[in-house]
Amino acid sequence: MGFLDKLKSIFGGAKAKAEQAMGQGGQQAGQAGHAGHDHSHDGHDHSHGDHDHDHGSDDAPSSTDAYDQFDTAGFDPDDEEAFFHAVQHMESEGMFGGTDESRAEIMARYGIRDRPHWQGVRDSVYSVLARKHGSIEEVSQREMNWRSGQMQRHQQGNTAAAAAKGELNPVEGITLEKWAAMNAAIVSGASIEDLLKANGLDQGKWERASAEWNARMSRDTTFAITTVYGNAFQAASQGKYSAYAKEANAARAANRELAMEPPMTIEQYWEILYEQDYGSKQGKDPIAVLKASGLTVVDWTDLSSYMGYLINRTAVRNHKQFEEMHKRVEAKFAAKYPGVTSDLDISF
Amino acid sequence: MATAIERWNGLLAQIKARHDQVRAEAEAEGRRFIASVAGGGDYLPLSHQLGAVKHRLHDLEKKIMDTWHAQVDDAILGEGNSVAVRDAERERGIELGHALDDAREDMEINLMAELAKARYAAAQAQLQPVVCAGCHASYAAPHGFRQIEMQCSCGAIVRYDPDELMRSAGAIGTHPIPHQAAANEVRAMRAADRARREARSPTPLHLLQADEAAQIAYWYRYLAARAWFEPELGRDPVMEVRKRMEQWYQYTCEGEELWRAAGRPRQI
Repeated sequence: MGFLDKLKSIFGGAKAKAEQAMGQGGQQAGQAGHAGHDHSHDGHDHSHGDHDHDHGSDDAPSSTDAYDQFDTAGFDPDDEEAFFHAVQHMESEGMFGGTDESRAEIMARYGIRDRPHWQGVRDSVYSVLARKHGSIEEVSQREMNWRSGQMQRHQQGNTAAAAAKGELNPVEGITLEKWAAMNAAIVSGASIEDLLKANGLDQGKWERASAEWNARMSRDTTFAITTVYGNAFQAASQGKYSAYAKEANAARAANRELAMEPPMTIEQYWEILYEQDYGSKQGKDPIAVLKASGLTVVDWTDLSSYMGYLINRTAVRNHKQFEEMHKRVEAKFAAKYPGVTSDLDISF
Repeated sequence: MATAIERWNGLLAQIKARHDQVRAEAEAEGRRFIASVAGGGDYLPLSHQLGAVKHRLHDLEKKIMDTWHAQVDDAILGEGNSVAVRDAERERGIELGHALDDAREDMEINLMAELAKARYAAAQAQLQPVVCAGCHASYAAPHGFRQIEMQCSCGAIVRYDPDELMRSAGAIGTHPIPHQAAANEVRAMRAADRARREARSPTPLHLLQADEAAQIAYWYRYLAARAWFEPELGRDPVMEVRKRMEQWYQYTCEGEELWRAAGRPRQI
């Protein structure tokens, strides 16, 4: 599954649902709650996302008729976060998803009668939001941003919990931030001996601290240590994209848009990714591939931090342009490296 | 004109033969390279070369089901075969894909483990006794990939400082050696993982528990071997395994209604 497919799957086909609902909402903009609207089944697409939609007899009324009516139930379209939260609980399980209890609470709070009613309400609210924001892509992007913020808050909670348990306490007097900064300097080519001397450390202390920080990191399944380390590593960066990495980290922490203009287009960034992929297929040294693109490892880490966040904040909204760009770059590199694909002689 | 099933068999045989051949060539080339860098030198070209080989092997594996979906499925049914026959042929393709996937994974681990062992042997051959600067007492060098401080009988601190070769043996072997030591558990874990993924939702509890047990067995074996490189991992094996399982419980099991309904029955 490609990146775009993943992005799209996050919303479980919400776009198709809302586009359809937008049509219904458009017809019924002035008829909210009008139970007696004309409900022609001719040409009606019954595949609302991934939910089966069985009307039974065309003539017999059923509970699923509610599904086809414009109804936002108790949701306030101006409080989209509450709606996104409800969607997450009603439509998914797992860490951020719902439970039987949370679903029952949501249904009671917003006046949802049953599952078919929820499906109709969900599509109606999406249609209202799509009209409000101009497109369903914009709504999907906002929903993704909201989810990113939720994950960010969760991660910040993990970091606080790790700190409370002493997992971020210094080792041999070396803080996680100091360890990260020294590693950043080593990756940038600094002499480890000089670094140890400048920081008043001996080799043994450094190795014991590194072993303990690595051990803590490997058993830290909440990624709290990794997150703090990554931010500190980039904060210490002196590379040409360090300011971009810092801006991306700050924006991610606050769940806000980027305040700096990108240093290159997403297409140019995508081309570097393709260079690396084709380089790997040819057994090339990835550092040499980066160098040929004018980048060091630190530059690449910093650049990816910024561009990755930029893509997260725009790819859903601009998915059509993104897909076209992806195809363009794919074709460009297939033409640039025609001999890389092998085993074409094997066929059915 | 061969039937669709005969052509499908031919495709699978060609893919398997090519996969075996590419791996055999890569292993032979890898061993030659390992012999040249056992006593030191840059080993990263081996990783890069293996990266390219893995890409090619992966593409060969992918060709199985890509071809199935694009051509074979319709061709088999189009020749009047039953759905059961079609499904059995599809299953053969999937099984071959899994076997080749395992073989590809093993190839890199085995070569990197060989490199680490070769470097360790070379480093061992060069080991010098540790001598106390105070009383000149001599001690056999301890096993270790990091600096170790010991107290001499005269009270002075004696340092064992592994040389570059010993350090690189440790750095290279930290993952592949324990992973190779747990080879049987790896196979069982991958099989259990596939069985769970292939089940229709909601995943039956017994498949989740089989996956869980296979992972726990792997982690115990793996971490016991890895403690040779990183002694701190041997302090509390249960805690180390539990920590590594936590993410799976959170991200996989919490989304499974049968597991929740059974009261979240963790084995660790």
